[in-house]
Amino acid sequence: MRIENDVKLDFKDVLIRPKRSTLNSRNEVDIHRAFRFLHTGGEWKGFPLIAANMDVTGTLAIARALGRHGALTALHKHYPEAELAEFFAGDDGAHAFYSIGTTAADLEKLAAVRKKAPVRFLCIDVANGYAEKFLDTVKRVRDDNPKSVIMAGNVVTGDMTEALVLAGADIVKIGIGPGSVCTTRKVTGVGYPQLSAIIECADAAHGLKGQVCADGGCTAPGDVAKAYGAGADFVMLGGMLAGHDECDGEIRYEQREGKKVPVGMTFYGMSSEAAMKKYSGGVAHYRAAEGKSVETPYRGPVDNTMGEIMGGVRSMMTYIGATQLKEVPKRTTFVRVTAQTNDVYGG
Amino acid sequence: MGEIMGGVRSMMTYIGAAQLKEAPKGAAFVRVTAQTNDVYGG
Repeated sequence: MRIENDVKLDFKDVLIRPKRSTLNSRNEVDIHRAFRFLHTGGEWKGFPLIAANMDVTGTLAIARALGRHGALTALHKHYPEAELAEFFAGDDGAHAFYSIGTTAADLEKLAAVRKKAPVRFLCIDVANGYAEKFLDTVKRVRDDNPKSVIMAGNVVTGDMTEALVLAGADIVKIGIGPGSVCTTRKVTGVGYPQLSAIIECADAAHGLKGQVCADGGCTAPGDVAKAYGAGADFVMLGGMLAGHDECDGEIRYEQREGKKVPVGMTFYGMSSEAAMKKYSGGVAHYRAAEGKSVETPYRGPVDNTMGEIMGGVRSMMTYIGATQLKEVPKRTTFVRVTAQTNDVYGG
Repeated sequence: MGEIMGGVRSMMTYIGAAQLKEAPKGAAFVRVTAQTNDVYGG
């Protein structure tokens, strides 16, 4: 047993210090960024935000909506083969990751879809990216798909980030337990504060010319801004994109002044009992659920929320004087704080 | 009991311990300021 004595940080532990700049307006900053991928070459330009491959947010409708903002979506892996093939054959498929786990069934379905449509972005994710077998899967998928951008995870430390980049991942996905519907930390005692994880893993990946995607823990646009400041090349969002018209969640209605209005929508973790019941016939006898089900407020079209997130990032950039998103980590100085906001009228 | 045993089993796979007696050897604690994301309640 060993204790690492320096304290690791979360988004809530820091704020970004403003810096002098010559920028005059939020219009002068560009939140789009161009990337060249380590193993695949080719360039992608857009707003580097990815909707999470969860049942509620990794939907075809979210992919179409986020695509209009230049952002990406990791589709959840439960669409039928024909529907995925049709989607990836169309224009919107260019904005979407095809998601797989490590099962033979997932790999067979991917091979079948690939015969009918191009798949540029692949997301291979498992709850625990630390198993040697996971590295083997990444290597095999890399060999079978030399032209696809591969995002693999999840891990939270530099050593495993490097191993995944060397195994063939272009982007390593960072985060164990920070999500709003994740209970891994509570059930297993395992995890790593997300801001420190991003900083340490980005450093490791960038040293090998790989990239990282910060996955989980963002609860407000300011957290997305901090993730970019910490070195995240991409930021993945679940909860912040849940509750919208384009999501696939059950809407709850209330009668208000004689009208039936939507007020809430279900949202659940992909290792929750709800998800395991839906896909694996319940929680296996040898494991415990590591996610929960909640109700998010109903929030209308996702365009409004995307506008808020993009506006927040743009404003952060003017505060620190960054005209390009890629300058953000260089211009970011975090200050440690004991409070984020003045909550005298509520949070 | 299922939840407790499942939680311990999952912790062991995260740190690569096949036997419970290996868990202390494999465990590295990190100091933190928060345990969980409580945006939807703890």
